[in-house]
Amino acid sequence: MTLTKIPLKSGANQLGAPASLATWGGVVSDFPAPGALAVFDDMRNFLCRKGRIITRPRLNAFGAPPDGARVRYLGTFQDITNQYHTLVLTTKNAYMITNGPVYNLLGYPGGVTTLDGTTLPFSTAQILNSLYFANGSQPLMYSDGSAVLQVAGDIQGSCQFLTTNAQALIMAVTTEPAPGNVNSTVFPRRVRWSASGLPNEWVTATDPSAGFNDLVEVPDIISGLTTLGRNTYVFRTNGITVMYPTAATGLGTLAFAFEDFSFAPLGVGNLFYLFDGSTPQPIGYSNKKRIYKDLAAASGDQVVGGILPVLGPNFDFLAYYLEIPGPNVTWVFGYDEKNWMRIDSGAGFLSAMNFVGVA
Amino acid sequence: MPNLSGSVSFIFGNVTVGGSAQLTHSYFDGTDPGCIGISWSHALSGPDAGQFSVVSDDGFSLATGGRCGGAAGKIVVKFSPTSGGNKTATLTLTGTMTNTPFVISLTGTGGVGGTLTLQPQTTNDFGVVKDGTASSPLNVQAINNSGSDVIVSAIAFNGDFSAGPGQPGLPFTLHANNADGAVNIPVIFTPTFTGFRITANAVSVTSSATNSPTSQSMQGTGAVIFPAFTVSGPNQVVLMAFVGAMGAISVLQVNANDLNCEEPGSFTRVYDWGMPLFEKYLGRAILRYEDNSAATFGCTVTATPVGRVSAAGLPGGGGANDGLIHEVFADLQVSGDLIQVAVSRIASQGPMEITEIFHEVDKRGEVVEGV
Repeated sequence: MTLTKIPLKSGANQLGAPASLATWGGVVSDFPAPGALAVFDDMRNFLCRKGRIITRPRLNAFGAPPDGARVRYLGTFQDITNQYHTLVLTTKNAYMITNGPVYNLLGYPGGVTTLDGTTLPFSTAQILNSLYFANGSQPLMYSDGSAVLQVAGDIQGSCQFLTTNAQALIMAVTTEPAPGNVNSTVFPRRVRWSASGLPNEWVTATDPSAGFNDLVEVPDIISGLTTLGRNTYVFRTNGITVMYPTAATGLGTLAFAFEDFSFAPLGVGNLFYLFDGSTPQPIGYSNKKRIYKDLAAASGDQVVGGILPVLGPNFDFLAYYLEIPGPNVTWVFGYDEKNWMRIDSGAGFLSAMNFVGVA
Repeated sequence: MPNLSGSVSFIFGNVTVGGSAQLTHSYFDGTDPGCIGISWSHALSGPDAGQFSVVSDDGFSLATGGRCGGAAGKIVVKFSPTSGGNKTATLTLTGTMTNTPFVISLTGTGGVGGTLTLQPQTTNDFGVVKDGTASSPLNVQAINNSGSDVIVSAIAFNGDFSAGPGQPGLPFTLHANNADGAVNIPVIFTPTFTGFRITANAVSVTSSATNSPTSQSMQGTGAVIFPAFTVSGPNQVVLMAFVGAMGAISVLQVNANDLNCEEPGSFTRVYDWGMPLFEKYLGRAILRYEDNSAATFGCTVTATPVGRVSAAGLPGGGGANDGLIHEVFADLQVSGDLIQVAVSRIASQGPMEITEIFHEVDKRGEVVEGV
């Protein structure tokens, strides 16, 4: 077989005229134009929203907590009297924001003098008009909207992840007893749930619908916890364990059943998934390596992620935020456009964000 | 013998119920040149004797020294009606005078009138209060806008409502036409159980007014908690907490109405044709944008490996925040394996929105085919 070079004809396509392959001699026309399939984008400090690429909203100054500690959580909840509260958790203290902004220091229950202990972010869950939170450093506590925090009843200790299902408060990666006590131990495979409808009742002997399960049948450890529909998904380093309430509860009966799934069929190296309750969908796309590169350079604090549906009133923007300290960048995955945006700021790296009431 | 002379009647007229009035009359011994003196004692009688009282009576002190030469002895009588209507009684002086017993009639009218108004100083709703705990006080105001004086004699509290600190002393008079202004009656709400509570006569005032007793409704909600540091739910913003250099903490508020860009931004689109045997050609590229500021931004097109670079420079605002759609690159023609279209925005140069990036692809060039 010999190869023949077909010379290029000169001449330019006319602006506005449809691209005609017949104009160019020797062009092989049995290959379709590749088009947008091979197009890829890279954005920095632009957002892609509703078909437009826009500069991101301005960030105005808002008063910082008086303790000067890192903010780990911002959130608004409604108490049993239908009053709203905006809770701010730093690595040291708990505040409620009121108009001003004014940071109102909350009191602690007996035996607790600070929130200090770990650098982990707080996991939160709302049940029965109270906001429960923990990060593994102090016993599971909650705010009911009053000026003093409360310990979650007879809770055995602390945890790193919280969610709710079947009217039970569920926690994972527990520390029992609470840090600072003799024999305090972290249980990275443990899922513990409260009595149904009683988030302050955790002792099985008192209420048999409370209990715990160590996921000993899987080799990895728990890395996340969330509830979608009737299922609670216990994310592990290499898979997902699904727990769901059983029909029968009572003495001697486990309130939740567990089933394990692995990420293996989805390929190795996909760190980012969009999960709708059926099949996890990898969403790293072409940005995966760049995100990995930033993750490899993470330093100085915890890498945290979270979902935020809006950027303000009438500014819907459902997105997942992955904050990476060190490079001080935030990778934002817009759900509608299904693409990643790389955001940074001279203010540093994000430690918490949320859509909250402030006045 | 001495003979007592003086008024034989005390006429008090109309006195508001709950109030009082005093009258003083003098009595003389005008017929005692020998200065023997007079002494007497008094007694009240009659159907309404309880409405009258003798405040002072010189007759008691005349028993030993007496009075003479026309000196006066005074009797002070007080009328304190406790109900409305005409009141009569008799004051009888019994003593050493010749005209003993000396009978004095006492008459007066218990007056009822005026209208007492009760109203909350700010609100009658205590809001949500934790069960079993006392609320902060709310004031109920007592006002007399009527043309008659009103005397308040008692204040009662009912339901879960009780007296707050700083109660007015009783009795007190509210003079006609609001001459005294409003008198505050502090009230406290202490819910005994969870839920909404309303008591029609939470504050009940007994007075001389025709509408006595006068009531004020109060309400509140008992709850298992006492809400602290509340905010209004609808006033929501996105807050972002940052950790900056040297651990500096800042909390910033996203201004969703301002798409300004304080940080430098860039958008890059790369066309990779994926066919290495062909020369690739981007015949037309159009970037449409809506510039919302007067600042400029940079746009470039780069083709590799051919190495041809065509830069569109820095288009201006195109009308400076005119809200119109503008185009760049309309006549651009470049070729290469990778064609990169890049838009860069300098920090703090105002907002911009890229509405569309359109490319028209052609392909030409060397083709190698087997024979």
